[in-house]
Amino acid sequence: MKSKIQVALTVAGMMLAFAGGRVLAAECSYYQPSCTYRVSGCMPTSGSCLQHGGGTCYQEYGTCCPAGGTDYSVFCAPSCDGSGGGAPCSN
Amino acid sequence: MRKIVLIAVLLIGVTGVGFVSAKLRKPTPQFVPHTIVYRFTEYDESDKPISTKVMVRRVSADGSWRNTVIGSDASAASHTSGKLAGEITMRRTDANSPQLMGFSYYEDLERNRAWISSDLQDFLMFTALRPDGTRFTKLEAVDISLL
Repeated sequence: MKSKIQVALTVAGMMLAFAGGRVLAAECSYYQPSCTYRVSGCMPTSGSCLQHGGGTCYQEYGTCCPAGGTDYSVFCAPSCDGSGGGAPCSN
Repeated sequence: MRKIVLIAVLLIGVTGVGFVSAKLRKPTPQFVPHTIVYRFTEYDESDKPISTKVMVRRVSADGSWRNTVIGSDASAASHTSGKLAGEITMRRTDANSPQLMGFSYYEDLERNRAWISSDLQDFLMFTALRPDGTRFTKLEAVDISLL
């Protein structure tokens, strides 16, 4: 009887760990741009923001300035209007 | 007499301030109003697509934009909106540039590969890569219309 309870507890623990791992894996994939960029737009992406204080996981994208190229950022925020995640350009 | 001189000086001063402020004021950029329908695909770390959605982007002449992402459940559409601070690119296309649905673009081959239309000042394609080089998301224009 005791061994059955131990097995059940072990299985339950493994299931909990697996579920926890899945939640962690589905977290919003934060990403910092490597350039300052002029924001073109943003959209919600997959990923939980529970560990980031709530909100929605957004991807913002734009063109690097002044040299050119493109970059993006991923972050949790209550909303996205293109003025948050990306670093602003000076002109 | 002194009152008239005072008023004249005041008027000249106000005119001068108006002239200088008009000269210093930056003109508001104008954009080509358009709508782009994108296919928006998200990828996992092994480069497998994990979701495909539709994003409808509408841009007004004053640079205001609104992105609407529609998933497989059409009732769960989500919106983001903002305003372009200025042109997103200074680079211009020419007669030899490739075209997509009648709109010329240049290919940006920096780390995140993109197709950018200088006429629309908008992306026709954008691939966001993770630091390890795998794809994170991809936007592909599937329909473009002028408003």
